[in-house]
Amino acid sequence: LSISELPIRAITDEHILIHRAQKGDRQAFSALVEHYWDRLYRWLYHLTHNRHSAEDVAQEAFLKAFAGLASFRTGTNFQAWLFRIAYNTFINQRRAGARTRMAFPEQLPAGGPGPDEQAMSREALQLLARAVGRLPNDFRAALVLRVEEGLSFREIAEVLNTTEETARWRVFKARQKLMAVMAPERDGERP
Amino acid sequence: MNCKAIQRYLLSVEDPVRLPSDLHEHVEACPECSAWRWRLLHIERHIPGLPVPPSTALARVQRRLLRVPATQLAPRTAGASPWRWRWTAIGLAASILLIVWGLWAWLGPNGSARAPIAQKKPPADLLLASLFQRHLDLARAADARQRLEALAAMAHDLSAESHPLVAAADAEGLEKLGDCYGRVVREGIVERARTLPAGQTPAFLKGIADRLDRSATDADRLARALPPAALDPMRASVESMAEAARDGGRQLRALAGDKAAALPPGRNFKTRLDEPPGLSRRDQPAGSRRGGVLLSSAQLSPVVAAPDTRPVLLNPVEQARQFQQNCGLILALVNSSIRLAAEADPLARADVLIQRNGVTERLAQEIQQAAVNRDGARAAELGQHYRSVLRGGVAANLTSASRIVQPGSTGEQDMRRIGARAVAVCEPVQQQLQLAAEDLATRDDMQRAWQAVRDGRSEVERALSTRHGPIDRRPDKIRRS
Repeated sequence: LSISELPIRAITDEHILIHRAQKGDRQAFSALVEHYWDRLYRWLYHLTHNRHSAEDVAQEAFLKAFAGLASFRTGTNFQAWLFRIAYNTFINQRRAGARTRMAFPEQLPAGGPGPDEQAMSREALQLLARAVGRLPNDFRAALVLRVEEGLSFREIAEVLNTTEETARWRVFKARQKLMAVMAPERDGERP
Repeated sequence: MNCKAIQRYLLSVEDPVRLPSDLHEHVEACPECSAWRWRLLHIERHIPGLPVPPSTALARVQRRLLRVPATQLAPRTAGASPWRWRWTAIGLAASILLIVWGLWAWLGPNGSARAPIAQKKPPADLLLASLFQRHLDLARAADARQRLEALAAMAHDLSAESHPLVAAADAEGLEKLGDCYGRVVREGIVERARTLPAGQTPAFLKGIADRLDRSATDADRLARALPPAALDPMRASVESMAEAARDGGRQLRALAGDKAAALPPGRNFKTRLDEPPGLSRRDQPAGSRRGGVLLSSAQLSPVVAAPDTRPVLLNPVEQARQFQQNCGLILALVNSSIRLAAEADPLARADVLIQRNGVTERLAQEIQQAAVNRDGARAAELGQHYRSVLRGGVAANLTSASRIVQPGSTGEQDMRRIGARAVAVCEPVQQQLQLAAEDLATRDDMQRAWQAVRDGRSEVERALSTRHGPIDRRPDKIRRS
């Protein structure tokens, strides 16, 4: 069984994988890619609103990460480091005029109602998805890192290359906007 | 601080689930701030669930990674220049300076070690917080319908937990979850539904039956999505949940059918069911009365989800680990909830809460264990639950009982016995937390937990002392009485 076939939790310590990848073990890095792919892709999808763009940026970020793995300091936060590379890649692509500002998909991917959707109706989820999609990029990037990845303000600042206070401000503004859009009196409205 | 300032504060904190105790008390007491916080948590909880089209590129990227020539992948390690050596020397000097400074900062001028940098705290268990809230709702429910509502919400919480457990392939956890869910539906919901006053509740029962049906459909879908063969135990657990939900729904419909003729006109019981627990319709702020889509589920409550609980931020494996860790408490909560649902008498409820091997005792054991393990975050999290159980459950019921119990009656003796037992359970927990607070690394959390336990204990003492004078705290006295 190769290392990439093992779930990352079986390794118990991603430092081992990073250490091996730093020595050139591609299988080890492949296991790291597998572990972080969905999370990075989801975040990038929230930033780009486009599946292919998100995949392209994620792919480039992983290749850059592998190329620059020697500069990663063992013991620091690998996820923040990786996401920062991805964010810089995203910013560069946007500057280069890549497809980043596409409209949010009108139709959410189909799926049956799970328990969470019972908690929030499909219409409300759609409203929330639109509201998140319409947040300014900086706010959205910070909010999703906080809510979905559970990063602290300090880690968010590290990823977004800014200060902790700015990260806090962006999350604050994002929450404020969402609370305004999702106010109960607007629940009756449909987009 | 006024409500507006508190609401702005809630928007700016890293984790709106964890609040300082003074703010928490305000939020708990203020319906507007409570609803605001609930809405914020509700929104944040659903963001990770927003649909994203699945990616199919992972395998392609991995293949590409294996094919890329090595020359393109390690530019930083190759071709060392003279500058590289200079930078290395500069870096080395800087590192030495940093180490010296770091040691000085660590040891301080007197050479004594300072508190280590706090590690990232693990997020609190949202399922546990939610179940404690349902349990508390049961402890102070005004009538049979409220009890049934709390049980239905509890079943829903448990049903939702099946998803992360399936994703983490945790067969053992699923089996325990299935048992808990089945018990809540069969021994809780169905049994309590039988005791509802005839002719008053068909739409209400149908509303709960609909929710059970949705849970059954969800569990069926989950079971179908499981890979074949190797995961039979998991499939069996999920299917048993589906069956329990379906069977419960069927029985509720049968009960509702018997009573349908007497449906009172114009009452929308389903809407009532969907309100957030802890807030009566009258108590909710005007905004939340108007709409109700976002505030319409009974997923989460601001009361027990207080300072140390978490929104869903964990991946399934971490959630499964958390479920295993708190499984004993969850079982105790389910048992206690089923018993509480059968009791309308406040003294009997307080007795259920404080009985041996019950929720309070189990919680006390877990807090002590967390203190022994120097797990400050867990001790603080459980401390909040402990305070809520004592304050909202034991003390509140003792206060209610004191209004009807006659002086010198056996009821009064029972009150004193229950109060003394509650206090006796607190003693060792406080002692253990006090010991653990000597460790600088976890002192803040341990002190927070200690404070929470003391608050809960004070509430119980206050509930008794207003009428009966100070209670006897000797454990041997408890057993004799």
